[in-house]
Amino acid sequence: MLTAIWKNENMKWMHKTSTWVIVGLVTLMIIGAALLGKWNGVEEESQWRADYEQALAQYEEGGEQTAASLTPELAAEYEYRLQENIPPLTAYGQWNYMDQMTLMVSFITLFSIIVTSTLVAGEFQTGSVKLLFIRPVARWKLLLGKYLSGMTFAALLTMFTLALVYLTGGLVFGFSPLGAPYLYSSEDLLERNVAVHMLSIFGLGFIQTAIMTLFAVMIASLFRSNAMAIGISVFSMFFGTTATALLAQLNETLASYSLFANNDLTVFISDNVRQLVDVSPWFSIMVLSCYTILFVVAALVSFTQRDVAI
Amino acid sequence: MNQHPVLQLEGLTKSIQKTTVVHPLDLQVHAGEVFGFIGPNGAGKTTTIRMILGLVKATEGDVYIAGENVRSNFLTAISSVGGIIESPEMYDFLTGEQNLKHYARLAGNASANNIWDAAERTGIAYALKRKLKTYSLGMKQRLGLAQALLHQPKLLILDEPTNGLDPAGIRELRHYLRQLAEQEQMAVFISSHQLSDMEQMCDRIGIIHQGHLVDVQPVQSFVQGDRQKQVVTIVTDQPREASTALKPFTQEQTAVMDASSVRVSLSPDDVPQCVATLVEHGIRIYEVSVHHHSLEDQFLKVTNGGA
Repeated sequence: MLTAIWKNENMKWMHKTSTWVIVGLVTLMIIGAALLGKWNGVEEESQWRADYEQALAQYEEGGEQTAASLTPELAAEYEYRLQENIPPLTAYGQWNYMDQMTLMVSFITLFSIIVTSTLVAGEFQTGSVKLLFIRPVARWKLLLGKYLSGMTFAALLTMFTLALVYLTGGLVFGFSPLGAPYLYSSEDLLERNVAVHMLSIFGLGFIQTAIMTLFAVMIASLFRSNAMAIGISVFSMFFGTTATALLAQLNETLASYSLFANNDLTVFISDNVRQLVDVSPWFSIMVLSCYTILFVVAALVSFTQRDVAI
Repeated sequence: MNQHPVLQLEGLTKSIQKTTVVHPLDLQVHAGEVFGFIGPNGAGKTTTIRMILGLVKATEGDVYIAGENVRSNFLTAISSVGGIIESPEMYDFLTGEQNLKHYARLAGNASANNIWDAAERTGIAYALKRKLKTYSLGMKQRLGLAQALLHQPKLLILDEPTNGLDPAGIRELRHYLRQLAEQEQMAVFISSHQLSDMEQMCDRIGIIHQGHLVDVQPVQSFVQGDRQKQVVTIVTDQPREASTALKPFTQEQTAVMDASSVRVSLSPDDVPQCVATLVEHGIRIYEVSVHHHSLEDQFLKVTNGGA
């Protein structure tokens, strides 16, 4: 029965014009960003060795400390890169572009919220929920089917984004080697394959998408309004981080329990993003599980128990 | 007619905060019967229908559909029902066929045959490939009826099904509903404010007013009213003489006269004798007619009488 519901909900988002507008926007953003980069003269830094050697030489001379001079950590990293021949991402046009396009995860989350909220709250707004609820199907299954269908859209959009970013990057900046190493911890000097790294970023980003979409489903189920669900979720997405950062200055322990201090798991596998509050991966997973249970219970109770009087 | 009612309401009550919207309501609808549920706006019709379908929880009392309690055994109970609640709101970005497929999947019967069969029966098959947003209200009503019939329900619940239908469509619907009741032994529960349609469609009528089920009667008794007295109009060019001649039958009541007719209240059995008497008195009779109460008269009488 869940499969039947899932198929039905897929049919709903697939036949909406707004879905295809979203896909069009994502395509435009990806291709637009690549062309803009090319136009602004972003090129592969092929002479990175020479640059690094020069910077290191300056550092070793000592001299007066300027803003441009290296920190001891950075100097160690440069030395290690030169020694092991690990170029920075900027040495690979395609990987550099892909690294920057990991910001698409936020847009995928936004679009996943829009599509899934519409599947839940839209039924109440058009009144179609009445003919939906008088079927021999438990209401909790209907809600679960809607969420799974929304996540199917998000998963397909993620795969589409990943493929399009790879192809666009390759075609505009030239294809870089798949086996290139990526140094993901400058402190401990750990490296992994860059392709694996990109897949991991989008994969962990998907967890963020799934949790924020669940949050939106809860709001949609509580308020039965699409505008409320999208509005509140998107507002939280953008201002939750800022609010958590402010809270962290007042009370770090309290801030570490915030959803936004934990929902971006990509911080644990990349070097260039700073955590809002210093938390461990296991702590984040535990906090996220608690939020998930809270959202699921609130969404289910509201969806299954309340009268339909519209 | 089956022994057990297809739809049974037992003391069904709805209170919202401290206001009682539907007072304890008892009702039975049997297989093969078309039941009309009428009442002014805000009388509790829609709330009652929603309680039957489990969209609104009853404060007190129970609904049984084919013997299954809607409160405790919702999935089994609801699988015997097809319904339209208010205007049939479906998915206007999907085609008619996709809409029906959607509902058929949820009933576990999404074969193309089933879908096209339901659409043929309600006369919407020709538009099944078109998106719902191109449909007129009448076409949506037909598709709404098709989705209600997809799973061969025992009970059909229709809220204002004649809305948006043209007179030919209404006649067709009436014919079709009678056929469903008589040939397929379906129980049909219709709410409507189109009293004249209800009169011709239903076997029994229930009137709901201010949350109370005021009256439930076979449609014949509503229409014929009091069997003891009927208003008889006699068209004649001698109303004064006619009125005098009828004195023995009308007792102390006075006949109402105008230039060309006289109206008296009579028991139906007295009508032949009255005509014979008038003929004996040499009064020329052009027409004798018995006035039937319309459902509307009866409805207004029941609901305005401060019931």
